[in-house]
Amino acid sequence: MTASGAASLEVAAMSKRFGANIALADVDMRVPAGTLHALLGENGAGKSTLVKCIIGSYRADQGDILFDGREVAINGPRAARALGLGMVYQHFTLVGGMTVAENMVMARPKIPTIVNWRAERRALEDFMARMPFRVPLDRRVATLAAGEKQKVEILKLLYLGCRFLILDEPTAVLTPTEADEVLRFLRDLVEAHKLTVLMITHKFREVTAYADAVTVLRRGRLAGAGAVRDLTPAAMAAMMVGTMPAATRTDRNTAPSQETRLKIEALAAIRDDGVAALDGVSLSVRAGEIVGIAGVSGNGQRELVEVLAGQRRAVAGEIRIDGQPFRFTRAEIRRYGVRCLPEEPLANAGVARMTVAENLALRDFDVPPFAARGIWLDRAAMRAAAMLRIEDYNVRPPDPDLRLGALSGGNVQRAILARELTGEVRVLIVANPCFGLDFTATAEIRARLMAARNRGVAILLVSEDLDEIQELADRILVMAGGRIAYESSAAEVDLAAIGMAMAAH
Amino acid sequence: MADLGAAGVALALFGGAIRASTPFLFVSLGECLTELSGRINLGLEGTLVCGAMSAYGAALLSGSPWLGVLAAALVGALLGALHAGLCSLKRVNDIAVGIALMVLGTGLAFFFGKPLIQPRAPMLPALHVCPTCQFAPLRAALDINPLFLIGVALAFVLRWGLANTRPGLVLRTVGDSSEAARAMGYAPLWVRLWATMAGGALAGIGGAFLSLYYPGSWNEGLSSGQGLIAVALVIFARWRPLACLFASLLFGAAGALGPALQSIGVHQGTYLFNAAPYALTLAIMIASASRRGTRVSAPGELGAMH
Amino acid sequence: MSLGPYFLRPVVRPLSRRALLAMTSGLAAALAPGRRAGAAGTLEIGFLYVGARDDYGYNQAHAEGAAAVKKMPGVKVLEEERIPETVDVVKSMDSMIELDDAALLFPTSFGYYNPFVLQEAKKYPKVQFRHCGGLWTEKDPKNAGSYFGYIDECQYLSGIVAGHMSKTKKLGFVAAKPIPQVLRNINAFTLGAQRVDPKITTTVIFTGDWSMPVKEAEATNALADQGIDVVTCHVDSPKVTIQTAEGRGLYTCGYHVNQAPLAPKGYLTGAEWNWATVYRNFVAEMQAGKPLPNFVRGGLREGIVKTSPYGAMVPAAARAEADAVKAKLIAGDFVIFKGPIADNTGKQVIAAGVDHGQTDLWLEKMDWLAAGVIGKT
Repeated sequence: MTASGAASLEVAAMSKRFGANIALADVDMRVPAGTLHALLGENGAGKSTLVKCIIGSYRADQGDILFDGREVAINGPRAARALGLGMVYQHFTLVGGMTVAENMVMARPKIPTIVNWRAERRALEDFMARMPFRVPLDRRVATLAAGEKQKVEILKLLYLGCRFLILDEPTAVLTPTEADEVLRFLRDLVEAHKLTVLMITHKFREVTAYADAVTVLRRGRLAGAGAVRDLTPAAMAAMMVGTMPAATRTDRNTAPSQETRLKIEALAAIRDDGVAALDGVSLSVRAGEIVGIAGVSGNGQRELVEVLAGQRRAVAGEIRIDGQPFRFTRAEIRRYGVRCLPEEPLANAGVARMTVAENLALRDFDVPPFAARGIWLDRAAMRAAAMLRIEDYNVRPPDPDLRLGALSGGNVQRAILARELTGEVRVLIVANPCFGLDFTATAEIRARLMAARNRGVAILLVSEDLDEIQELADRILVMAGGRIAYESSAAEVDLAAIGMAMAAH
Repeated sequence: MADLGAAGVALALFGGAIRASTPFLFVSLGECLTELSGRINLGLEGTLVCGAMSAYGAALLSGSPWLGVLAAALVGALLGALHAGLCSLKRVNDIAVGIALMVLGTGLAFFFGKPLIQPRAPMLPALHVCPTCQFAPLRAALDINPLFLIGVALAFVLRWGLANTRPGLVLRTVGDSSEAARAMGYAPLWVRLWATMAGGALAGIGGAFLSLYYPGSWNEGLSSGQGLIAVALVIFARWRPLACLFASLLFGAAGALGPALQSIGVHQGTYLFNAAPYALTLAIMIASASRRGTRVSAPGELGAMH
Repeated sequence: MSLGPYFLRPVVRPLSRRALLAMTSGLAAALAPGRRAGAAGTLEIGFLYVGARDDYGYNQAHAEGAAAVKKMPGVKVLEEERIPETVDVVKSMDSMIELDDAALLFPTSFGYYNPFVLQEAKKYPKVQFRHCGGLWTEKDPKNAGSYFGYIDECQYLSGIVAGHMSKTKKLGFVAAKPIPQVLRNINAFTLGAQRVDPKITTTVIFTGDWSMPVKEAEATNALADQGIDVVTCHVDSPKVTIQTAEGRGLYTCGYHVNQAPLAPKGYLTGAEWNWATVYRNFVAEMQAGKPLPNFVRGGLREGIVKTSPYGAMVPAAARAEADAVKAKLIAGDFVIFKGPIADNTGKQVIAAGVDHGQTDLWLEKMDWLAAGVIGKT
């Protein structure tokens, strides 16, 4: 095998402990050259620890790495890079204030003191011409959508000559269309024997469609491995969670009522950089109905949720609830029972430095029973109420006095959802509720949403995951270019038409 | 000599832009570098005053104004290193450190500058761009200090260097994302140390200009807040060196507006025109803060708690 | 007063004297109970300056007076610099009185008087306060008082010399604020010059505060650009104005102290203070146990003001005319503000036949600029 082609990787008996906590115990993994290998596991199963040990961010307590058949000691990302082993992190390592071209050049191990941009650009354009997808070289990365950033991350590593690529949930922030595009691209490179790919994922659909083989971890141990063609999704799920997960799915049991609860008319808003984000959005949600909004990220969904959460001012248009204009005062929010589970709830709907109990009380700490005696808060009552919610929604660890920021992403999501679904809820705005969550948590949260719908809550679900929308929504809308580009009932949905509408922008 | 009248105001603004802009220019370019690395050094007013004092003292002792400029740069770099050193400690806020250093720098300058108020130090020479100009006001306006030209050149060099050199790209990377910089193997703290030292050195040179050229003397009231205004200018200039140059020229000219208008007999709103640079600072801050682009173009690490 | 970022002052300064005083005298009191600071028989005198005391200007003039007092037997002089015209001066006076037993205070800056000095005088009836430039009246506390010099006499003489030297017949005046003393200087300077040639004008630029170095330099340049060829000033430190004017090849008349070393080519003459006379008199009377006068004024005749020696470029004719007027002023038979005088809006402010002699308090409330002055109060 030449140094320019795909490389193989073998991990033998790798272990890593943090204090008393065993993160990784005796894990073996084989990734032959020129394959696409999926690393599966629930949150906390040890996937991240394993790849960090491979890439050299962590030093394994025990175990060997064979790269291209030779035993190697990798003491950091730079050493890994020198071997041709690169990693795309879940959080982008791009510099937002710089252009794509500057980011690609900056990633090189050696940058000349004076950069000859003419030569660099020529090289970059030659490289881009050989790639199946194109990214505008002169755009500032901060202005790119998540999908485009992911592409830049991958292109960057390829440009650096990586022969083995590790990707940590590469499609988590992408739309299904974008995800397919990225994975198709990786698949092509693998088949051309230019690259070997190891990718962490939760999505069985991607595994069955694109991966050659899987390694499954559970609680730091190897739970199973094998060729994808020999495994069913159910079998893989069983390896991940130990047993087949119970059917947590709640079924749609009623038809939506005829009463229009939330009505948005000709809503317009402007993005931080001054560009129009919403350009006359009109929609309505009835009681007991889930309306799903699909679309490629960056088409105004984020701004729509921000306006509906009261975080961004609309420049035109109207929001009505029960036919009355709604202006986001605390009194109105309470009167109409409007709740919201935004994206990144830790930043947008919680206070990381406050305790779980305090966060759970943010909606009603200022009214009885928590503020029964004038301005004094009844912290004991708050804590007791929080305990109930924590148990009910299975928030781990079940400690109301922990700071919210100390919880894992899935548990923050559960805690905030617990708060938002408590009390008299009539309208719920939800954005990407299962983003980055594992199998069990995803199923549980979707069931909660469906149960709320069945209770008569009007739910507006904004999601980049089309599967999620198809599973939950009664009606499906597509947003493109700040407008509603498509609308259909879930029963009569036409996937091809959705794809067209999403691409329209 | 002809009565210049209103044309004189235009000439005064032009001359003022050249004469009074240099301290703004050096401090704002210095702060620009520091802020692009992800740190705010609010202490540059203190550095400016300390630089002015050191330059005056060194020029007096050595007899060479250029050694004075060098001394100012060294003192500025030292104060910058102090700022960077303190800020590299955990849980230390760069804004608080900056304010402390502003007071420290001013205090040091007053303390050591006591014996320097009376003596006359050798001044920096002016380049007579138009020694044969018949028209004296124009000839005077075109007496240009080399530091001004160096500052202008520096603005262009920085602009080019930030886009086309390794140090420039590394600086911007560090300023925008410590994470990304660390992932690429750069040490943000070191980069910030150099950037803050360079920023301090430039602010010191700005001070040297005040004490060794215009107005050209050392006393405790020498700076009327140029260092603070220049820090604000950087935000107005959206961290672009050429915009810093433009803004500095504008502020230099604005300072000349009040006296020039009075000299031709316009006395309405004297106080307003005298306050023009400060009013302009406020107006610009409000205008630029309310522009929606602000958040988008600021270095990502700026003001972040490290 | 301006010292760049205004708010820095109170932060920087109290670290110096007051804190040290509080510490050391507190310590002394603790070590030697019963003993009051300030040995018996020694007169403690406090001087308070608004700027640095070696500023080539206003504060230096006072500090030179304080230096003369220091040479007298049986006195101890306390000095504090850079005290803003705010409640800070009250704190400084309190500390001098409480901690040092000061019995006589000279708060020298104009803005200290009302309300700060008047407040302190009521609070400490046993301490004598004499303020420079304020207008003491019978209604004010008896232990307060004010002194000032008729420096406009020297400005008038400077004006005569400037009138002789100007070719463009345009004079310039860099001033801080339009307060009566400043306006009186501007008018006297202009009237002196118009004695030589009635067509002469004086262009005034107000910088807005007492110490604005860059603005003073800009003002001087702006005057030069307008073809003005003699410049004088009334700011705390004339250093910047005189140096800038020298650089532009203008003639200059100094103020406060002699700035001739700063401008060997263009320094014509100047109006200087001679505070030593005033301060020594106050101290001597205090030591002799006599009551201090509340209201002290004086000019060339009393030796409170003086003129700088003429520069070499001043021709004999100019010297002769100025010297002749000076002799009359010293003799006490010359009136500067002698009617008819119109202000620069055309209104007659002093009718024909009316004389306002130097001691006339009407002059200390001056709020007009004489005809020929280009400027606005």
